[in-house]
Amino acid sequence: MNRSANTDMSGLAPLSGFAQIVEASVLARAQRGDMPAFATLYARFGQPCYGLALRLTGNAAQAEDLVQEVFLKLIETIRSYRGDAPFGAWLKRMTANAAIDQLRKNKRFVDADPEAMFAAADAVDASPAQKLDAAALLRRLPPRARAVLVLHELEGYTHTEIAKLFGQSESYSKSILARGLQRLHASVAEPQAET
Amino acid sequence: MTRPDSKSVEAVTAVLQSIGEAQPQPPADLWSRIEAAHGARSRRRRLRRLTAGGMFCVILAGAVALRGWHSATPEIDWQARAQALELQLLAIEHDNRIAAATPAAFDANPATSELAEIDRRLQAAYEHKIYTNQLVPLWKRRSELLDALIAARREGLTLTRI
Repeated sequence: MNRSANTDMSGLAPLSGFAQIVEASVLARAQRGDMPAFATLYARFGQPCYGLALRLTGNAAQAEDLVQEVFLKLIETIRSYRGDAPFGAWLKRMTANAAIDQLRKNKRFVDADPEAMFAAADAVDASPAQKLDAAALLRRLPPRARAVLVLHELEGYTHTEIAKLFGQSESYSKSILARGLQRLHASVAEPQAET
Repeated sequence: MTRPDSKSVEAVTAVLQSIGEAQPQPPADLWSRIEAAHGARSRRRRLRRLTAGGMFCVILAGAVALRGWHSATPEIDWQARAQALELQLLAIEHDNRIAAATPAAFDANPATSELAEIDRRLQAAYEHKIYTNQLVPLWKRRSELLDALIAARREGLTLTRI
């Protein structure tokens, strides 16, 4: 059976996002510093990378900066990629790490106290239209809570992995996630109550 | 913490699902911006490497020049020179038998007494364990006096003044 490299095991469903497979020749060229090979990698992974960055940061400009930073780092570090994990998984981790690093660097979001974090987010009010918008709902969460929620609920990270990324305990990750979900429940209930 | 109702759970699940399924597209020019940033970064690195290389070359050239200048003006080991001259003087005195012929004149020579004074000062310095550059002028002066005495012995003359 002649199965395309970028279809799933059944050979029917096309692989998408970070699950896409990269041809060894493209990787080998990239590892030699060939810029068109990097352009191929961007054409394939630029969108999933941007999507994850946007979900984690909640801000388009920050997401663009993050993608730029990740691909610049990729150009510099691809020689160290040994193929132990699929390339997409490697790039996804690099993107998540860059986003968390950005969150940790930003002094505004350094506050590790969940109470203070959510209280600060409460100060920002949203319009009824924003309350119905999924992305806007996510943006209403404190940055760290948003990142924890996205990583756990959408990207399949475990609490152990999240705790390690943030340099915090597992219970911290669990607490932030619980509060974040609670906030989302409250947010989706608000428009229903208002109508 | 109150337990969310099923409606709320469904709504949140739908929100998360819609977020997960959304495929926002990055700006069309993002790759060209990344390429430009990479180019600029590479140029900066090249410039830094060139600057560092240039500085290394300047330092190396300076070191070579300094070494060349240093080796062009070698330091004289006045102590070794004085000891060599002393042996030379003894050999001349022995060969010409001048020492035996004019011992009194030699002993009365001012150069000889100055030589004796220098030897006394050198001995005192060694007794006090002074082995620094302070002794160089003494060894130099000793060499000059021995030079003068050798020249005088060769001419068969008694030195009266240096």
